[in-house]
Amino acid sequence: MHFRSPKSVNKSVPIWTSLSRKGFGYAILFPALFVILGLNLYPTVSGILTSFTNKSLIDPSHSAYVGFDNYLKILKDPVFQIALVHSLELTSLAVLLQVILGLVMATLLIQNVPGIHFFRSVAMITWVLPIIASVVMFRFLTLPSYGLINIVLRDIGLERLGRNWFGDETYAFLLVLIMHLWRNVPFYAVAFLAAMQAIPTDLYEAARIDGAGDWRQFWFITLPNLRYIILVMVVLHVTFTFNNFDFVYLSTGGGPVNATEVLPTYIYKQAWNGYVLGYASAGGVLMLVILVVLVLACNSLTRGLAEE
Amino acid sequence: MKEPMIKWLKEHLPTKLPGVTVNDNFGPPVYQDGQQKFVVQGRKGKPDVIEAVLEGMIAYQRAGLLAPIDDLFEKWADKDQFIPSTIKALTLNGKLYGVPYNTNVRVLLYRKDLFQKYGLSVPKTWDEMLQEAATISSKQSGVAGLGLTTKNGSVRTFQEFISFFFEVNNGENPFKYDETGKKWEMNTTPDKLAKVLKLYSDCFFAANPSAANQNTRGNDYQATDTDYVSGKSAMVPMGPWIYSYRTTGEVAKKILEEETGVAPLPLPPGGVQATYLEVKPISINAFSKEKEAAWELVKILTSKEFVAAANRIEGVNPPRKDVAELPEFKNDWWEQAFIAQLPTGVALAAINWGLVINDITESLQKAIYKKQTPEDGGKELYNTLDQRAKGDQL
Repeated sequence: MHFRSPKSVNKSVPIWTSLSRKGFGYAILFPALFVILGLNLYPTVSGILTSFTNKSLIDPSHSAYVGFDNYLKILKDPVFQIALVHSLELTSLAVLLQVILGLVMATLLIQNVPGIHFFRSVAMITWVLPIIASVVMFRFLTLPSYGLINIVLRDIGLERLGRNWFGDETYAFLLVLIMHLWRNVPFYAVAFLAAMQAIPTDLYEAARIDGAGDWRQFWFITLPNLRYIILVMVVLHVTFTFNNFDFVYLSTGGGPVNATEVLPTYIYKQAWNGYVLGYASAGGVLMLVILVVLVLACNSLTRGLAEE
Repeated sequence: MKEPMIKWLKEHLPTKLPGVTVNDNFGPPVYQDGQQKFVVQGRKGKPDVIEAVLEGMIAYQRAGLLAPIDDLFEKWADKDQFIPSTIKALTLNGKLYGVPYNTNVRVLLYRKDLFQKYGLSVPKTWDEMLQEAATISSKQSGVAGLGLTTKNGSVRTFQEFISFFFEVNNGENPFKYDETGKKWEMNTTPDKLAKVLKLYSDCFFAANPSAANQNTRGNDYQATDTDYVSGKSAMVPMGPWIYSYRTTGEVAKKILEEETGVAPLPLPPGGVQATYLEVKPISINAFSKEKEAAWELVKILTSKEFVAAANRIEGVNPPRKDVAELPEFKNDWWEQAFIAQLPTGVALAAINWGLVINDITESLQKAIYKKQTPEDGGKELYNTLDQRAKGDQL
């Protein structure tokens, strides 16, 4: 039997073979590259260029370069400012609560009690349901006259608390947040559960021998071992939540009185109700910049944790 | 387009349009979705024929996506069958861009039984409407005197608002086209806008209990419709489509068939009888490569036979005189009550209404959530709309 060292292999490959190998590599990369460039890079660059024009979907032949006009106008728009604040509030609150509640739910789901497999199986139902179905369900639950919540309040003598929940500026935003939690917490829980199951049990046994209680075991063993999955979930959901359009648009349309307006709904209205594509693109570019900053901030924050 | 209408077309098109294959993909069921697709893809020439709401048709025309059809329409033997106001609504900058297949106006629906029970007469003024609605709210448990659609950005919210606005604004649009300056300019005043905002504010706050239930602020159109047909509200500004709810249950059937009266919208002091005119057109894509066949299809979709079938299904009003004369329409009290109000309908101006609808519904919400006085709201709304006109955003 004859063995060749890696060095000798490199020496023996003629240049044309090496080139054809590279070519083959590029060839199999091309479809994915084409899709990424075509579906992501081109629209992004096109959107950035459009944001410097006054392009309108209903007057496409009269598009002119307007410099930073769209940016200056949109930054001065009070509704944009409200939407930006709401987007940041919603993203930070939703992601923070999802992590906390996801950890609580995962801790419950990992317990070995009778019937736990059933609960693990049904935990993901909310995440599998289409968003439109979830929103319609929440709308029916909160209807002023026939909603279950108001009916229950009436039946227990608290009719005065009943209201049109999505039409109430105090509660509409809270409901949007609850819809995010309702949908996503089980997803976090299942991800955390999988990571928890991979933690060696001897770590817990050693901790118990050393006298550590449940809380100290969670704090010093479970949580550090979940850092990577927490990092992944936070980065993913900062993006998802900041970009989320469906929950708000389908439930409140951004109202009442802009109480639930977020950047995606604001930009959508500019683009598809007003057809002011240049202006809407400026909003989209600002959103992209904010999102990149947010994701970088999350990365650096959680990288520190992971390196500890 | 509703399923029975699609079925009708599938059955009849092969014989009525021989030699032409009509794609039976009728597009998205929601106008907003269809509008987005057509604005983006229309220049590819498909679909050849498009159905729209008036606001949508105006946007398509502004985008250069619709073919003018004056010459074709003039040569059509049926042209005189269409109610002139509906044709006028589809005539933009002097050219006709669609043929109507249904139309309707907003009127006041009221509960005859409740009005009789409390000795009330049909309101003729805004003040009477507010007083009588407040009376019903206070006397009839679980029933609000008035139901309104006030959801942010909702087209129905806008349509109800603009109906009341037309009454204040002498039956005219808030914008008019200046032929010399070749641009749109304001055709109203801050005071007139404030009057309408005050009406909405009064509906929710002028009395205790209020004319309209404060808990229904932000209601979308489904909630407004459902509240009325289930007996939760006694009056609503409404179009004829709500009659189709009578198939949803016994309560709705009884309310709509036996207990509902139809009246013109009440008037403000010094106002004129005017209301939002809805006209749905069938138009031809300017980029269609099959314009002749497309026109033949337009004629079928606006023919006596199809308009009669479609309007029976949709429960709205026919824009054709010969259809209105058919016994099933002539002897139908509901159809006749709405048809009687058609002459007071005002068509929307040929502007891009999208952002204006957002502006109006936002001001309306500020008034009913007490974020702004109607007077301040009127001024702010006027300035916003004026800026849109001056900034060439219409």
